[in-house]
Amino acid sequence: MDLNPAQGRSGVEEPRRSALADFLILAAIITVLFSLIEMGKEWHHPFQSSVDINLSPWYLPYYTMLSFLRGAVAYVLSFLFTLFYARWAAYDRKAERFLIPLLDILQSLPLSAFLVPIELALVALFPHNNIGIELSCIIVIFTGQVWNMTFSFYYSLKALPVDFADVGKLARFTPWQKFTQVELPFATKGLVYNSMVSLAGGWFFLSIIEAFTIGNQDFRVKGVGSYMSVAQEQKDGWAQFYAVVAMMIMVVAIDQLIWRPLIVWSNKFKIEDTESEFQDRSAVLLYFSRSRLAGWMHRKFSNLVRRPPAQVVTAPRVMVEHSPGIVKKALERTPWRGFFTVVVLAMLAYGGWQMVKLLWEVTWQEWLTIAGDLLLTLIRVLSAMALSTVIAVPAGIWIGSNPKLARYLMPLTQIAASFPSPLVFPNLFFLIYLAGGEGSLQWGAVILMMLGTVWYILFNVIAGASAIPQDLRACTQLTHLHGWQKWRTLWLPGIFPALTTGWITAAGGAWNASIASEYVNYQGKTETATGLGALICQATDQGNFPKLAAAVLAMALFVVFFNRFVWKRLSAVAQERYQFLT
Amino acid sequence: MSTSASTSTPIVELSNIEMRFGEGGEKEMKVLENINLTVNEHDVMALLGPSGCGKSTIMRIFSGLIQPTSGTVKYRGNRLRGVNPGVAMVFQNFALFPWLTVRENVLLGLENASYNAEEKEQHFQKIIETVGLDGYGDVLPKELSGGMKQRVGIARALIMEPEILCMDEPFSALDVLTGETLRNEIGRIASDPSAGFKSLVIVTHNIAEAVYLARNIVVLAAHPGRVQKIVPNPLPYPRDPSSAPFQQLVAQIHAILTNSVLHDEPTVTEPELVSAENAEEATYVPMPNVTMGEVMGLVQMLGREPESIFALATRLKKDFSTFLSVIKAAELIDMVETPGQTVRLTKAGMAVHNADLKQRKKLIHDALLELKIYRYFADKIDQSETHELTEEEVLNDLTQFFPNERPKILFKNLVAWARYADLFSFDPRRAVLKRFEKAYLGKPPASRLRKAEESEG
Repeated sequence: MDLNPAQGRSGVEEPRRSALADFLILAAIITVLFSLIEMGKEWHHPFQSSVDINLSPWYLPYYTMLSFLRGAVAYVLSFLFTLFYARWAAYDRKAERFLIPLLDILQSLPLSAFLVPIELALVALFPHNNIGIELSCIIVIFTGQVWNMTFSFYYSLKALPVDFADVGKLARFTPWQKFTQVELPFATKGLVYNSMVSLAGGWFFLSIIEAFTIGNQDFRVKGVGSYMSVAQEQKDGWAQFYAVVAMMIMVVAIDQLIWRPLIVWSNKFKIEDTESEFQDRSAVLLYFSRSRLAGWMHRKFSNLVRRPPAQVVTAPRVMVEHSPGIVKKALERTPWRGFFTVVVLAMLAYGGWQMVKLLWEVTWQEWLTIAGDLLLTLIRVLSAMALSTVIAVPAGIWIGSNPKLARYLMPLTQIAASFPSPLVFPNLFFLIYLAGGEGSLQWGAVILMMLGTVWYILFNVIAGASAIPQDLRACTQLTHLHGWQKWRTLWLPGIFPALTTGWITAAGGAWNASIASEYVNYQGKTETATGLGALICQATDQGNFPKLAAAVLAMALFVVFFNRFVWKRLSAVAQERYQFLT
Repeated sequence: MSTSASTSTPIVELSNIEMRFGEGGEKEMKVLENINLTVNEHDVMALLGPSGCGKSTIMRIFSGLIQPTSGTVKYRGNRLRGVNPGVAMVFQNFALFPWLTVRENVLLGLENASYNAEEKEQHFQKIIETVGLDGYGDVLPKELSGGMKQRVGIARALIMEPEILCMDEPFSALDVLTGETLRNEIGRIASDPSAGFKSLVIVTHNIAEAVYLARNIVVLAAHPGRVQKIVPNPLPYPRDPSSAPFQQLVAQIHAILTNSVLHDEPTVTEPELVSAENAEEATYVPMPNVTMGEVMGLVQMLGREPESIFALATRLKKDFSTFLSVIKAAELIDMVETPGQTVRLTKAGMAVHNADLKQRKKLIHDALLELKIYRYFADKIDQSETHELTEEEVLNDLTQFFPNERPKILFKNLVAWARYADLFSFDPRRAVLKRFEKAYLGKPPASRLRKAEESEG
């Protein structure tokens, strides 16, 4: 992929650019190793009913690192899952018909509904050490991250231009070469962007689950989230401030040290041949690219990727080409496939039967309560989105129509969207409580939810507004449209496709915030707002599992259907009618 | 839209316009310099020039869409504030609102007019017939072909009955035949006094188009954009492109453009930068925005006999001003010379013409090193401790040398030419420029191999 033939080998004696950069890279590697070991220690801790957090700020980097590692491990798992699942769906036509709708449903499920069941199940599975609780953290973050990445990779594979695939065939690429040389480069841009969104979603759940307590059950694990929650319990204002700062540093550092460089780097996989004049820049990437150690690692790594595995080269060509087919045919001939299907169906049937048995115990009054609470939560979600739209659309258009402003503020909104707002829910609630007194969470929950929604809408509207062609804007000026006319003809229709994208993401965010915003712990007290999120927590607290199951099921089904029948349709209309001609 | 204003004052007057982009910053660039233009009633004016001469920028300035850095814009004798009320515009890429029907798009032009619904509809019917789109009123733009989209764009501008109808390269996004048809219709509308507008200003890079339509042809020069000459065009309408006077005028404008591009003084740095000790720097010449491949193609075509530049451009079906840039590039590295309106190979050019690929690279390599700018960077690379220059360093220098050019484009050309000649190579991953080194395809020298083994472990 290097355009420059001279670089390959003569690069060995590259002059030394920066010792500091080398040092930083080494330090990073050592830190990762150390942290992994520390994490292993944490996992072997005997399970404690309450978390042991030291509020001294000197411990905070350690806790932040633990939080980061949970997110990172979950991300690696998500990435592996993505590669496996998306390739399976893209290349196996039979499986595709089933895998893609499944993925679609999984993506629109409100994860927060399953947060409690996952936590309970895994803690029950490993009652004697921290593994269960740590695993549930990772699983929850994983489920929050994985679906959009998988979708992105799947769509990239489906959109792989035939020419590129043909080049691979003619050059007799091994499957591994095809994967590294054709598929991954083509999918990189989408994967990087979706990874960024995913990891931000991961912090959101991390901050909820690290600080998770219901009634007198304490599920907290060491991390920024639990540090914050202990600080809130003990009314330690400074500690709370430190926690927020630590989280912000982590979010900004990840943005600057990982995503910015990755985005710039992924630009080289753009399929267009022409270079655009305004390229994304990353000072960090350039700095480290010029380090000697990075050059060495780059060569090592790219050799690893490019060089086909030795045994494949020596194997006869014919064998290599036909082997996937042979394996596949062999699979089809053996009864494994049928057996597998039977086992899966049996498990599903058993699970379904257990579920029905469980739900049978739910009284009709309880069903009514669930329905009512669902309606209340829905109203909160919709109000949060409506309010966010009213605020974010004018602001987004104003920023987006001003290129200079957009260039500075767009990355900022992205970072703001990555900050896990549940961390500060209790503090915000306290303010709301001061303003509204007893019961103010009933409406205050809307404000808490907005913290999760407004950024997504703002971000998308800015992107939409800055994509409106200059000529259309000039045209509205020259036809002397002003005020409302301009909004009606230009701005609102122009941002509509972007706005629907923002709405879909924001709706997901609002539902996911429902648990943390309707059930708030502050200074040792628990405040609730009537709604499905609070109901799920209370059912857990009372040990009423039938009710818990019913509530989770109701929320999941409702959100999936709402997604299918409202958001999907709206977005289809937007794409059809309001997309710019190119 | 007002008809009461006195007919003697010009509609628009530009005086001493100067335009700078990226003002105050490091990347400041002068786009327009000392522009003085007047658009009178019943004028048809063409703004003609090579890319980068700022012709669209001039149009946007007197439309009031952008404000000049300095100078005044007058509308009917008064200083223009905000958008020019007398201007309607037709855009290169149509600028139709995809969510509005043809009717809604066209009626945008009357959104703030004092007509009632019935009058608006009458206007709409009249205009839609003029542009030949009757029956398409309720169709969405995406269902129309490119030519029909531009007709909608024209209808939207005409319905405003503007004093000046502005057209920004209106036919260049269309295929040749469609563009030709539409141009003829614009010619017909322009010579029709009942068309609904008083004056027409068209931006184009096509000389025949300008001669076909305009009464006054403003020929612009680039870097920075300035008025080279205003050529009046007295030919009566309708004009016949195959007639002798038409051809003569086209040739005359070719000559002006050739002179302005080729026989121009080399662009020098700002006078204040040319102090006594670095007076020599004034001879840095920027690389035109063409590829070495194009230059080599030209060298292949030519011989020692001079050939007419205009005839060559026509034969190659090349846009004239683009072709001039190729010639300018070839002249810069001393491959061709351009006596008068002709071009022929120099001795060096002849050598390249007859050389094989390997020799040719060597010759171009040496020719580039004759250029002060390449020598400068070669020396700088050799003197630097790491034998590398970062992209930022090079960009900084280029900005210093050529304040009227876009440094990124210059950088791109600088690297591309040097790569062609195996002079420099650029590592995009680390964004550094260094001397070209041959890749070791055979056995590397022993010393090098040993070093490589050591550092690879």
